[in-house]
Amino acid sequence: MSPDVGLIGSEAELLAIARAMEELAAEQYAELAEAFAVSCNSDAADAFRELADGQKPHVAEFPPLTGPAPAVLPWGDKDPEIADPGAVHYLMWPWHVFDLALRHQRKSLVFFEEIATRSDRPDVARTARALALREQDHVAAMQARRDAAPIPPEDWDDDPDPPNWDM
Amino acid sequence: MSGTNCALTYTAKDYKSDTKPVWCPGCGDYSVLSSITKAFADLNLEPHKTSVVSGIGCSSRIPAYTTTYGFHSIHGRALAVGAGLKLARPDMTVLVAGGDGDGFSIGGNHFLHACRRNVDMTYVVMDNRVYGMTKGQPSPTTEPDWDASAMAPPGGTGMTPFNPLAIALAAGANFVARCFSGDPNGTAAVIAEAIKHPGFSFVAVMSPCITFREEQREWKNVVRPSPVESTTDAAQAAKRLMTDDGFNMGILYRGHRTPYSPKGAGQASLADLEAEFAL
Repeated sequence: MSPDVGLIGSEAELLAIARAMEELAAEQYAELAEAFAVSCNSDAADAFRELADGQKPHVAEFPPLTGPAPAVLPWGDKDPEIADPGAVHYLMWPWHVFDLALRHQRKSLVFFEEIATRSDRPDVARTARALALREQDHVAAMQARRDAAPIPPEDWDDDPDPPNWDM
Repeated sequence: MSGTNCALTYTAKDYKSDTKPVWCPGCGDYSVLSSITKAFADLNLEPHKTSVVSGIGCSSRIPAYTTTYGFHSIHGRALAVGAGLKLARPDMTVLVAGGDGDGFSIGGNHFLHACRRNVDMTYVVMDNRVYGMTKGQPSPTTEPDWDASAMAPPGGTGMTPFNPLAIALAAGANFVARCFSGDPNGTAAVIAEAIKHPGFSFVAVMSPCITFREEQREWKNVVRPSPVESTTDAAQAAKRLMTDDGFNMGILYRGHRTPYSPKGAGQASLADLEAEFAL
């Protein structure tokens, strides 16, 4: 995914976009936490809740003067930070949850690195570099969190009472 | 809810109720719910002047998840309920929602005649090509050779799938569009356009069932924005549909038929109604 760098007109706009990414990710993780709680996978629900709560300090890190998110976002409908809801599985383990978050944080890192490289506005490029460095920390922390989670067995998605049963 | 004393400004969250969806994790219907509430917010619709009406099925649970007025009605009859509501209360925005089985099989006849009647309301169908709530039977839009479910006949139904857009267009719908749940912002924009458009608006949303149709996870890799703009020419829209592979997203047709409005609709006083039903 290549961000439309031309749509980012100022440092303030980039910060607003970056904060919107964190906020939207928090909403998405909270929604998935609720979905997994309803479907009785409490381990995955707790992991998604942890991710949602973990986004809050990320949002709080932005300067108070960061403006509202712009109407047009440079990634279109493919926000790199937001977990793809179609990528979840009803039997997924916390390891999968953190791995999913890690994949998306890596995409965010690439996103900011691309802006830093390609923007012809020095203030935007400088801020994008700072955001990329920040994202590197998030990636490292998420990788540690995933690696600390129990590794699922190979048959993690075997369901003795599958929704789509065989005759 | 936020805003001033003079004019409230609603956000998408204002239209989401505290009831948590019971859809499977990863179901496309979560995104459609978000798109509908976002469309309501974009149009700043007043919740007490907005109704969501549904039939039966997974997607038809949607009225419970919104803060507008809602009516979780009976199987296949949501359009009749929605039309009645709109005719009795023309000041209300009526959105009818449901799935492909509810709308095209049990409610197939209502669908045809709702398109013909052209009441000013919006019909959003979350199409996953399967009856999910009842564990995976083929629906009218299921591919003829699909037999991955034990609930499907070996080799599939062998039946030509229902083509909702073509049928809506042929039956007289005044606005026809197709969206993908994986594009919630794009879907919200189309739903908002559908609500604004006078007459009967039909929005088919491809919404994957990740439990019974796991292969639909691949939809996100094959859908694409339609290469052409919408048309006001029904013949041209029909021609496009004949060469369409089902994965072009966007507004296909914007008609200009006058919405149905029977003389005297919504005009009866309570006293008149009481007199009519007096024994």
